[in-house]
Amino acid sequence: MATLVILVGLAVASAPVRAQDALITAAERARLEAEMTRLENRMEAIRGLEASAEEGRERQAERALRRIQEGGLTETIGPLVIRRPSGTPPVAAQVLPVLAAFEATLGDLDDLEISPIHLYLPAELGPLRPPPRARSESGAPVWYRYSDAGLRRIGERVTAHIIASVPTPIGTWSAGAGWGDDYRPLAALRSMAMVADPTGLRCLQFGDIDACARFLLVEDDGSDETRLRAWRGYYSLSRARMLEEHGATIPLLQCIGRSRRTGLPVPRTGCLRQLSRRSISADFQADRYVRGSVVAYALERGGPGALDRIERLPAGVDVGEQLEAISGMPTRDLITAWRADAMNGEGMFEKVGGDPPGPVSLLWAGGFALLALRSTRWRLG
Amino acid sequence: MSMQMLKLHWRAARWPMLPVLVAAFGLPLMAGWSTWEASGAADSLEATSAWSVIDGAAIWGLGFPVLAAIAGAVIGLCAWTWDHRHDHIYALSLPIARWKYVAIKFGGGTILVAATTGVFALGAGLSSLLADLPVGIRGYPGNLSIHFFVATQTAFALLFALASGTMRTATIFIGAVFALVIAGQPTLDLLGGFWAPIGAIDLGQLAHSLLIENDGPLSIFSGNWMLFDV
Repeated sequence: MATLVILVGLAVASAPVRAQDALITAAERARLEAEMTRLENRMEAIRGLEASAEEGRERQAERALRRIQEGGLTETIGPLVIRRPSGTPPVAAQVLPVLAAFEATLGDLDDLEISPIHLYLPAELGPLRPPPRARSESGAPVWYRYSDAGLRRIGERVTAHIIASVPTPIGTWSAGAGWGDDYRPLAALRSMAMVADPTGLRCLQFGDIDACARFLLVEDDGSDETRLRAWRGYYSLSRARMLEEHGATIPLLQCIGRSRRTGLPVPRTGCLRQLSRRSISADFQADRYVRGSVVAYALERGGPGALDRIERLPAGVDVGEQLEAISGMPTRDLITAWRADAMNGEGMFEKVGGDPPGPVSLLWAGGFALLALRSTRWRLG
Repeated sequence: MSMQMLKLHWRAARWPMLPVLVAAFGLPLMAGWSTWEASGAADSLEATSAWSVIDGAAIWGLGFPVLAAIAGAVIGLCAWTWDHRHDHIYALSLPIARWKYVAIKFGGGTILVAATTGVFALGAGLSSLLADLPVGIRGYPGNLSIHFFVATQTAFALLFALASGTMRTATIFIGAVFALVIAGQPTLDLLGGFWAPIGAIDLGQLAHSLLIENDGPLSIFSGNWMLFDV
């Protein structure tokens, strides 16, 4: 009975609530449903945006990857296809004056049937200057002394002028040296004269070509051990100061000295432990100019098309194969010829250390003297 | 008359030239000094390495063009000392045209330049003879002496031409050069705020390309001045 009373009481009590609920639903239903729809739409929009952003990031990453794989951003200016690293600013302002200079001599480059000339730019691009004026064999003014070999050759030499680092193994190997203006035969010969490494000496002084191949074709893999091995080869008391400037500590120098005296190979010297707190500077490449001179020599031997041959090489070829492609001759023959010319001061190594001043300097002195002679009037005061 | 003018020139220049001549003989000797020291050193092999010789020659080589410029300037400026002091009375009393007088004076100066070069060549030759050079390194006393002569002659001719006018002209010219060196670039930068192309001018680079690069008038003072090299 009591239960029945309770149930009846509850039914009576709940009657107003149901009526109230019915009243709210009627008044607010449309607004709540509209709000719900709006919120759902917003949720959808946010999800869509997230997906889009994710897709955008993927696309961006793909593009960046493609740029990296291609070796940089690409700009096309006239016949030039310029690949530059992503950090390099646009180069049109620098390249256009050179093109204008060529066009002044050769006519409109667009009218000439040439395939695109590929230029590789370094991350840090120095000021680009047109090559000095010279005259071809026919006497016509040209913008490069090698231009008698044709526009193709000019293009290659333009390339050589503005290359400082080529995104290929050989560019890394020579650290950008040997290409165009960066070719410094005097620095190369000085570096060769200062080689203390036994392998280098066997190569340069005694013409051991196997030693040359080992001396020149050592890949710098960036490891401390590789660099330490190179340092050990170049170390001498008189060079300690130079090595110190490139990151060597006194204990490390002492260790290298001990390892030279004892003849222990690098991994067993314990010198690597001295590097636990710091790495050897990557800037130190004592034979950069030596390697650069090999690149320059290969370019000279290769003649027109040398750079094209590099482009046609499949990816992953080593420095030796690239040198062979540039020079168009077997690497051993190239190194033999290079070493002979360098040691005998012949070919491109001729007179690099001892060129007398040209007559132009004396003409300037004569010109100044004429200034003094120019007048018949005495000047008092 | 030529001998008299040469004597007069020498009398005007002899005291300022004395330290220059000592330096002309001594600097090349100092450049080779490290290789002589090496023969008596305990670690002679290291001390006479190509690196130390080239390093030493490069450091001393910086002094040679400076010495040439000083020598040329002294000879050039002293050429006109007596004329300016006495208002050219001696020159005007001579029965010759001005250009002949100037040419004789210039010839006398050139002889002094050649004599200074001779002293320099003596020092450079002696230094090369005494040097104990490692394999692959050679001495270039002759080539360096030619460089020295041409550089001294260029400096002499420039200062000779400048001093042939009035002292006022010379002072204005030298003052203008100094003003350009000190205030030129800041002025261009300031003007660049009004007109961008002016601000883009690099005065140092411009001066370098006009005076030194591409066989400019002062190009002889740059380049290789090494007594010992590969």
